[in-house]
Amino acid sequence: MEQISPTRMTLLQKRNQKKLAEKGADLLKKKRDALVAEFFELVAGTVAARERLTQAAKEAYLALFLAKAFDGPEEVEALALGVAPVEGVEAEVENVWGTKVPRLRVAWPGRAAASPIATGGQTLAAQRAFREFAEALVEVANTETRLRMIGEEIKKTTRRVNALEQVVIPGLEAQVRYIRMVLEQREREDNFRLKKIKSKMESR
Amino acid sequence: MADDFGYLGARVRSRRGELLPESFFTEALSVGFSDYLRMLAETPYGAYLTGEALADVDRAVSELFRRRVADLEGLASGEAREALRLLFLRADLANVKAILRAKATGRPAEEVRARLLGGSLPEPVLAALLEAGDAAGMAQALVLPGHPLARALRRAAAEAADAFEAELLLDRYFLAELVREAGRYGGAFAEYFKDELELTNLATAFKLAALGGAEEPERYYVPGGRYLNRALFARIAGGEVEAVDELQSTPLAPFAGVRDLAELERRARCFLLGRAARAATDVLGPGLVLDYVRRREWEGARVRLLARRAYYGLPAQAVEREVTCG
Repeated sequence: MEQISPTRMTLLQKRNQKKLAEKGADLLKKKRDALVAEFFELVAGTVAARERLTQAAKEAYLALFLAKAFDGPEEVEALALGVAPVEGVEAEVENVWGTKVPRLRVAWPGRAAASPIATGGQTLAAQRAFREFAEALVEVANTETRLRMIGEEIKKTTRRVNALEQVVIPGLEAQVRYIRMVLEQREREDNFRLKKIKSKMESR
Repeated sequence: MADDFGYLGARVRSRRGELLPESFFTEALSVGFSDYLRMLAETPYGAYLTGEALADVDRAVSELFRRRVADLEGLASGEAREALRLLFLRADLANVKAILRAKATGRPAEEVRARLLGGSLPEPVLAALLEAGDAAGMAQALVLPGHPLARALRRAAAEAADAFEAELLLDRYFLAELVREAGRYGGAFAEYFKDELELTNLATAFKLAALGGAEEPERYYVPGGRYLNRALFARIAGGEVEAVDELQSTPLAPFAGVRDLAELERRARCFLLGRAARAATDVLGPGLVLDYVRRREWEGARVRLLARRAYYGLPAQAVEREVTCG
C-alpha cells in the first residue's frame, strides 16, 4: 500500500475518490452494455455483408471466366486499360459511444469503361459483377472494421471496469479502513491520555 | 501466291479437317483438368501446349489461331486478300481501342503491348499508334499504310468529346464500313456481315436494357440494318425487351421470345455459325474462309471454356448450354 498520511483530510479525499471510482465504474458498465448491444446488432449485418461478398465473388469470377472464354483473355484484359483508378475514396470518421470508427465512401465512376457495341455481353456482365464485388468488399471493410473496433472498445472498457472494481475501489476502501483505524486508534489514545491526566489531576 | 479464292479455298479445305469433332466437346464436359489436358494434347492444340496451367491452354488456343488462321492473309493476294482482311479487322479494332483507352487513363505503352491481339497491324504502325499523342494522331498513323480503320478513326476523333465517345463512334463507323466493304463481294458472304450487324444492334439494345437504359439510345445504333430499325432498337434499349417479338416475321425470327442477353448471345452465336456455313457453299468466293475462321473462333472459345470448367471443377450443366448449338 502506498504511503498515505492518516488524517481526516485524507480520509475525506479517499472517500471522495472511492465515490468517483464507483461512479466511473458504473458509467463504464453502462457504456459497455451499450457497446455490447451495438456489437450484437452489427454481427447480423456483418455476417450478411460477408455472405454477400462471397456470393458476389463467386458470380464475378464465374462471369470473368465466361468472358475470357468467349471474348478471349487478351480482349478482356485490354478492356481493363480503360478503367481509371478509383479516386473518389473518402474515409469519414463516425463517433460510436466515444469510439472513432472510420467509414469508407467510394464515388464509383458512373460511365462504362468501354463501348458496349463491340464488347461481349459476358464481358459486360463480368464488369458489372466485379463492380458489385468491389462494392461488397467496401461494405465488408466498413462493417468488419466497425465490429472489430467496437469489440476492442468492449475489451478495453471491461478491463477498465475490472481495474476499478477489483483494484482501485478495493484499494481505496482499504485506505479508508486504514485511515479510519488509525484515527480511531489515535482517538482512543487521546481519550486514554485525557483520562490519565484527569485522574492525575484529581489525585493531587 | 494465288490472287483468286480457288487456291485459298483449297488450303482452307485441308485445314477444316483439323477442326475438333463434336465428340471431343461432349467427352470434355465430364473430365477433370488433367484428363482434359491429356485429351487436348492429342489434338492440333497439343503442339502448342507448353505447360499444365490454365494460361497454357489460353496460349495454345491463341497460338493455334495465329498459325492456322491468322496466317491465311499471307497465302492470298488481290481480291481474296482484301476479303480476308475484313475477317481480321476486328482484332485491329480491338487493338486500336485498347490503345485509345490506355491513352485516356494514362497507362504506359508496355502495359498496352502485353494486352494486344495478333491483328494485321505491322510493328512500326503499332509503335506509331502507341507514340501518338491523341486519337487524331493515331488516325494519322493509320492513314499512311492505308489501313481501312483510318477513316473511321479520323471521323470518330473529330466528332468525339472524350475517349468513351471516340470508342463508341469508332465501333459504329467501323461496323457500318465493314458491311459496306463486304457488300462488294455479294452473296452469302455479304449477307453474313449484314446479319452480324443486325445482331450486334440487337445485342447492344439488350446490353443497354440490362444497364437500365440509355439517355440517347440512337447514339449506340449502327445504321445499315434491315429488320431492326432505330425505333425498335430504342424501345428494346429502353427496357421493353418484349418488343423483340416483332422480329417474328423476319429472318431474325429465332430471336423472338428472347428475354435476356445471355440467351440472345447463345442464339446469335449459333445463328451466325449457321449463316457462315451457308456462305461456305460458295466455294469460289470468300465464304469458305469465313466459315473456317468463325468455326475456329467458336472452337477456341469452347476449348477455353471447357478448360475453365475442368480447372475449377464445375459441373457439366454449368457450361453445357454454352458449348453446344441446337
